[in-house]
Amino acid sequence: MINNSPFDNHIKGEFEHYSPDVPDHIWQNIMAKRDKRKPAGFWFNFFTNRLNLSIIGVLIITGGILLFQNISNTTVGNELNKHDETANTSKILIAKVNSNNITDQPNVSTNNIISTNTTADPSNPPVNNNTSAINKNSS
Amino acid sequence: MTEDELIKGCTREDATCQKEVFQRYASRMLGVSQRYARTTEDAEDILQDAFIKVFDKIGQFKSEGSFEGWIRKIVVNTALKKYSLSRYSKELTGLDMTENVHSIEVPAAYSHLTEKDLLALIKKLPDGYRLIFNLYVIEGYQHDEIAEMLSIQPGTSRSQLVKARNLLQKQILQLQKVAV
Repeated sequence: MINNSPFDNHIKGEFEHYSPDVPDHIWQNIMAKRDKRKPAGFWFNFFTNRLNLSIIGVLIITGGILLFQNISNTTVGNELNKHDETANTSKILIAKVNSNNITDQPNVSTNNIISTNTTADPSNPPVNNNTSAINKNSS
Repeated sequence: MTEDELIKGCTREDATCQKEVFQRYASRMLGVSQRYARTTEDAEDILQDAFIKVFDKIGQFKSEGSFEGWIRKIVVNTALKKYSLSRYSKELTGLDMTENVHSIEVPAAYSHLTEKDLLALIKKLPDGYRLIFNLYVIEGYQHDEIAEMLSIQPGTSRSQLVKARNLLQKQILQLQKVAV
């Protein structure tokens, strides 16, 4: 029988350190193929770079803070505006009532002012209460 | 640059690191691909495709084994894919190696052969024989592993190896006769 072990070992040994010269065009071909797929590689590279990631993180956090501040300022401003509007309306009403008191005008005009500021609810007519209060004041 | 630094650089697709990896391992890997390929052009194609895969999948490399071993595995798998199973199967059934082969019992009969002589003889082997001979004798895979890699029976791998060895030894003997 053939003893294959020395034959196999000889062949394996011969190729153990076999390293032929590599033609230059192989590397050029590899680079050319990789360049064709650059866009995906670029974004992968961009997002795996720690520096880029940290810059993106800082930008997101800063943007978030600015956005939050902007929203909260707008909300506070709206609240203040609402308060101003309410105060103005009350002032106008008081002024009107006072002017009515002075001129002894009929209650009709007062009713008109009040009715424009309240939604009409036939079952619960607050206008009458106010009117009666005004009437009492006028009397 | 250390191997770890090179791997990290390649993960970032740093061209300098990629070139350094290629320069370090390409020569030995061309030696591997030449054993599997039938022609020099095929060997270069295998090397080229294998290194593209290496750079694409370098993120999957785990430092459990050697980096060179990992690259070598990719080169071998690329070569196996190149010589497709259909082509390989045809050759398995197409050759009849039932004739008696003169066995080489004396190491002196082949010990004078250089790596280039042996490479030329291995290249002459049919694709299927060449793949199994390389995988078993040089890479050190077992028949079960080879069977799984090539989707064949372990028994087929064994018998093909015997036939590949016989054919190779026959070629060596013919070379000796020519020399004499």
